[in-house]
Amino acid sequence: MTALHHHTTTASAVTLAGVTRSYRSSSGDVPALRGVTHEFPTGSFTAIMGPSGSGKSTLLQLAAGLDSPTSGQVTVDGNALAGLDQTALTELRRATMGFVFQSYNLLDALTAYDNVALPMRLAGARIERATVLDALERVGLRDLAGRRPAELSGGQQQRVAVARALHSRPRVLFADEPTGALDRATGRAVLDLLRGAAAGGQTVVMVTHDPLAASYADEVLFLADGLVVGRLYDADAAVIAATMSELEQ
Amino acid sequence: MLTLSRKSVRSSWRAYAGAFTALAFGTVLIGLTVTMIGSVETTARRAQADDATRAQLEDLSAMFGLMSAISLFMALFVVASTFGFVVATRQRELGLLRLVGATPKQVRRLLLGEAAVVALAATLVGCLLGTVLGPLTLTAVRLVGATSLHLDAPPVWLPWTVAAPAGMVVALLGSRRAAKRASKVAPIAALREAAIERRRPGLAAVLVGLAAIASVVTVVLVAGDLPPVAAMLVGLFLPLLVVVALTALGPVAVPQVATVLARPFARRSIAARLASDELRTSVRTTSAIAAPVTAIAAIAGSLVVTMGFTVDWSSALNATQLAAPVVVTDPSTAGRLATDPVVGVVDERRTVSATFDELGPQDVDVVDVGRAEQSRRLRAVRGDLDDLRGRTLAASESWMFDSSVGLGEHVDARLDGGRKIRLKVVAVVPDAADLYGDLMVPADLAESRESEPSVLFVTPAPEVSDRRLLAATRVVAGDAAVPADRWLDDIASSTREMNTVALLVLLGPAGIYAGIAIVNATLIGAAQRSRQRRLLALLGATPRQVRSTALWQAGLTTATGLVLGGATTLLVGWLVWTAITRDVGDHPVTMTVPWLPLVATSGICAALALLAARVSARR
Repeated sequence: MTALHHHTTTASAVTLAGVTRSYRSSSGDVPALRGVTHEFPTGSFTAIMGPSGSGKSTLLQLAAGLDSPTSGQVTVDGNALAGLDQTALTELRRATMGFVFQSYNLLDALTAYDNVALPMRLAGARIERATVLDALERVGLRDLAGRRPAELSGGQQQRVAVARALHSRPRVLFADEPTGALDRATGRAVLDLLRGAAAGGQTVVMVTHDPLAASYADEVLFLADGLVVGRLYDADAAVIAATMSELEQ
Repeated sequence: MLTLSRKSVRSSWRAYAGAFTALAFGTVLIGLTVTMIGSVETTARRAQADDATRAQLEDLSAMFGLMSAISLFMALFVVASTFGFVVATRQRELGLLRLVGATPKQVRRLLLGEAAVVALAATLVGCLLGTVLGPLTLTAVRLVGATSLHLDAPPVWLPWTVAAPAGMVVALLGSRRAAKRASKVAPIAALREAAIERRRPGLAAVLVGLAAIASVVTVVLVAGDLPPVAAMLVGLFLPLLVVVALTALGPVAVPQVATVLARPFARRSIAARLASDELRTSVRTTSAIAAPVTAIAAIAGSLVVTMGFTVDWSSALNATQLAAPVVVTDPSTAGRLATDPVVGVVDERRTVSATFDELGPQDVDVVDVGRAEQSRRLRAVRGDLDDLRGRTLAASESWMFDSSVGLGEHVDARLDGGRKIRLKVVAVVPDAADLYGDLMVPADLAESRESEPSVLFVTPAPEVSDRRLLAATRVVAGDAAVPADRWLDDIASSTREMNTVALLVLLGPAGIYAGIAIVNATLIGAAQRSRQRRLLALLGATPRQVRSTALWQAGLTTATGLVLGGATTLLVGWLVWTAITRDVGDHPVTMTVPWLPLVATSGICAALALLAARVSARR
């Protein structure tokens, strides 16, 4: 655990340096990322966009240490991921990263409360009931703390996942299409929560194909064919949509 | 972690229903076995039982021991396959757990914790059921004719002390491999929709599988030189090895065989074709359903065939050895027969009870070597029967194989409860279980002892035909005088009847186990495929097509299990048969294949799988 506190006071929470990733297939190597260098500043909200097959999910997985790059360096919160074993990676992930996905975010066997408390419990930390309930309060689900995922709607499940990320206060929050399965209003509520997390100093990295969702971000990163092909700052949904259709042509 | 384990089991208890049933049933079986062995002990101690009774009881204990060994093996196997299944179906959930911060070790502990929770509940239920069923089983054992004694039940706590820990150990051992596999699930598995199951087995599985296959091959290579008793022992253990190999390498072998079996049907029926494709991709489900079928088919088939052939063997040996054309089953007529002029020699089969220091109580034949040579062709394969005088002993080939006593060595024994004497082994004779026992002492040694004659082997005087001899003995002994071949046939058929009872006791529980495993695997497999089934329906498959795909899947998988189990049975049958025919030499041996139990086993396996598939396809 000492390694985790040994980070330098850098302004970027996640750094990708010349990262490539290719997959082996019977017809030779297929590149998914072809050299991406990018810094995600602490407290920023970044959206990653691109046509399907552009490498956005690969980028997210590499940044979170779920996959290792073929070449290049990934640094999270000052820790280089290369060379860490499974247990060290797990401990780093537990201490610094949170996740929200399109669906299937929660363990079916656990109540909303237990799902929120799980990362801290796995880390062997003492659980303060009040802080867990507070996290659920912030996503508006305090009253449903005792329900299991099967008894919650898709949007509610998504908000429990956000509450989990708020509760353990990870430095980086990775979100993969977090609004993909939600209606517009619920989607907006989740995006507001992510926006709020970034405002509170957490770094949010979100993969999405929805220009409206991306418009909540400070920066939008466009990928195509495994390369960063464009960046937009504080752009509105219409500009983002226009850039996307250009890319898709 | 244990809290999470408990919650997981509670919310996904359906997946664990099979493991629970298997374990609870296993605990009941172990409990009953302990009750049985314990009651044999208690009864033997109480009854001032005579040696014959004690020997009978000990045989019964041994049979129960073998039964629980087979059952334990099956239990381990069912638990391992259920837990393997549970892990395979929970990839995403385990990935998610890893993603939110569980270390591989924590995931492993979670799975072992779940096994412990299931085991605790199952053991408790199993022990309670065992306590209730114990006295009933003792009665049942007497009713089916396994013993004529009234068995006393041992204290209630005795089965609990053995069965409860055994249940826990089986659960934890069985789930170990699955827990290890679970700990290797990568966090990224949480992001995958559905993955094709990994076909390639791990290094440890490959090594275990190869070692088991190598042992099977070695056995087959040396089969040419095996004595029949060794071949029969091999017949008991070879199927276990084959099952171990298949469990380790099943995901590679089973889908291949299933695909080959499906080929002729796949061209004609779309349902069969879909089923065959499905079997090839969901390898774990396929091998999990086929494995218990293979196990029961191989174990039951080999045991049935071996026991059947053993009767053929002893019949052939008896026939080879028996020279007397007439056998009289009323020994009280011996005196009168001896004075009849058409009778040459009346050779009495007599036994005296003996207790050996190391081998325990055993009946010993008392032989008059000269007469026995004439009527039972008694001869020495090693040593010399002329030396069978005074404090000496002759033994059968299989007894020599079983015990570690060599020719020329000494054994200490008491004849009929007398003083301890030291007997020298002077000759080894061929086996002929129904003509003489495994051990024999000379008539002069047993002279003063009380020995019970049981049958008389009668040979004719010179130039007297067998027919005249039979007619003459009939006058004296009535229906108790029978031609030798009929007497041998009667013995063979009564042995077969006893074998059927023994097989029921030995295989009944293992069969129930296999049933649980088949139904369990089919139901879990079907639940896992429910999404695909819905997709199939959306794409335009009629309910009938969907149902028939499920049936094809179950049918093909069971058929694969039966083919593999049948192949094992065939191999064991060949081994035993080769050893028997070589041992008997020129004398013809009639092969009796016990078709009924073989066909019944296959039929029940197939029926269970199809029924489970049908039930699950309806949902």
